[in-house]
Amino acid sequence: MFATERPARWSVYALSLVVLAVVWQLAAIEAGTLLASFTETMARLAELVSSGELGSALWASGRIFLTGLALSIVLGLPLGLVFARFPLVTAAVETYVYALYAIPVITLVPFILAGLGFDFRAKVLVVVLSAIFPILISAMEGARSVPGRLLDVAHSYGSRERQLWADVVIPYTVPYAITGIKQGIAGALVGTIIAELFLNATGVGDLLIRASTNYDSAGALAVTLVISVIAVSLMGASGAVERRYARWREGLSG
Amino acid sequence: MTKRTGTGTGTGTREPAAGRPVSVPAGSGSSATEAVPLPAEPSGTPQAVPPGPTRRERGKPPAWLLRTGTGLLLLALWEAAARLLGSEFVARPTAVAAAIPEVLVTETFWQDAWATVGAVVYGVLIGAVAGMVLGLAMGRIKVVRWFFTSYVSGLYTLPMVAVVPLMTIWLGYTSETRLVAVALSAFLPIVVTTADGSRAIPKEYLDVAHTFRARLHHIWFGIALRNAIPYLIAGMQLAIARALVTAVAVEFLAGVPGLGYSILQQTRSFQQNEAFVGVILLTLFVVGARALLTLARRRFLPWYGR
Repeated sequence: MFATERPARWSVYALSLVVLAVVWQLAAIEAGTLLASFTETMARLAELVSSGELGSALWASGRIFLTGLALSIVLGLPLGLVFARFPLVTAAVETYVYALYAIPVITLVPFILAGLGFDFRAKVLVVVLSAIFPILISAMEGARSVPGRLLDVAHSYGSRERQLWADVVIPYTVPYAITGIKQGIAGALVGTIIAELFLNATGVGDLLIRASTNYDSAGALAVTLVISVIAVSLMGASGAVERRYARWREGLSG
Repeated sequence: MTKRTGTGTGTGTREPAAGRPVSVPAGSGSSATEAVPLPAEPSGTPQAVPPGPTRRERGKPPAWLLRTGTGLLLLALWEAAARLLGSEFVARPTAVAAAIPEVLVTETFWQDAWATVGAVVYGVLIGAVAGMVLGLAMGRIKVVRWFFTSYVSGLYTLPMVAVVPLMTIWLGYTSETRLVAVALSAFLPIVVTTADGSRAIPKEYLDVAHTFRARLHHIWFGIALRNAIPYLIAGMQLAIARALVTAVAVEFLAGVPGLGYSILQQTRSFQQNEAFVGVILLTLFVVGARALLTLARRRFLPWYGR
């Protein structure tokens, strides 16, 4: 059944792309300068690439993204584990973790701008605030859902707390952590764009704002398209890793 | 079916139930709805074992005391840090508390709040209706699913904030731009979850429906749509948070009047404490709206678990 479906599916995929290109082109003719056509957008993209503007913008924003994400992982995972493993700590902090997670980070941006300015550190802070909570919460959920059975066995064999962590809690949490990191990547992407647009505009934010104020729809479309491709590849890659480890999780829970 | 439950409530260790079609989500792995755990399915699968060792029960202070203590400690730390940094530039708890009553009686605060919250509510409703239609079609008709998959998952993954500059080019610096942007960012998660929900129908239901020669509309609206409702609710919970971010982003970028814009203005004129009241209100709105949806699900669809 699947073997016969595949060609049909791929031809529909191809058709959908062709339809997009045609509709886009026709709409662009209709809309005039407001909407650049597909070909104009690609030409502008090539221009941005060859002038090096896009490359340096991506590098500037990428640094913020990676630093923020790395910090979120390094801080979020251990904190989540610690929060979850000690019931007293869990009871004390859980409410606040969820409460802080609920704050829309974008509304904090003006405060960060006023209090810390708009340098690299302030931008990384925005990314960390957007990315750390899903990571921390997933690690917490993971460490908390370690089956009592596994802990009992480890205790029966005389595991110390350290061994318990190394052999049971941390391995059990890995699939959860991966899910959290995937969501953290999504959060960090949003955080990076927010930081680059609303603390002073640099990197891709600068490209987008300049395109927007100059009514350069080809430029805005090209940059948005590039961001979209990056986002889809990042999420695709982390989704693949996640599925690999999800299988591991199912094996463990059996 | 390995439906990941995000930061779920310990339902992460479910096994695929026998007889249920294993489905790859429409949005190529984008079904892990970020913050919103999808509801547990109405099956008898056991929940995760309660956590932690039980040997430390004795002499434990009550949870509420710990919670209150931590809260006070956090506020004290914030207050101290704010005083240290220079209180003009940083909001601090005592001053925010003092500002709450005076902000709440100003008329502009409520006008701004309604502008933003109203846009989010309308946008999510528009997105929910449109998203349900496309999601249902994508879940039930293969060709439609194949046709829209790349667009939906591409746009779903793209941070909507990045589209805001484009939208200001097309629609100008108006509150309509905000509504359109909000509706679009609400639409996408709802399409993804509704498509998942109307696709992941237990096979037995369809078998029974076929046996009784159910018409297509019975399957669509009687089975698929009903099966999709808890997914729709999860999608809406996700949509509310995303929509609010987009609404505030449009206000920042386009200067559209609303609570986001007034927060920006106030922080620029050293009214950090007054501005923070806006943050609190928007946070409460998101939390409240999500809780309301969860409550509605528990009330009207109690068989979908907590």
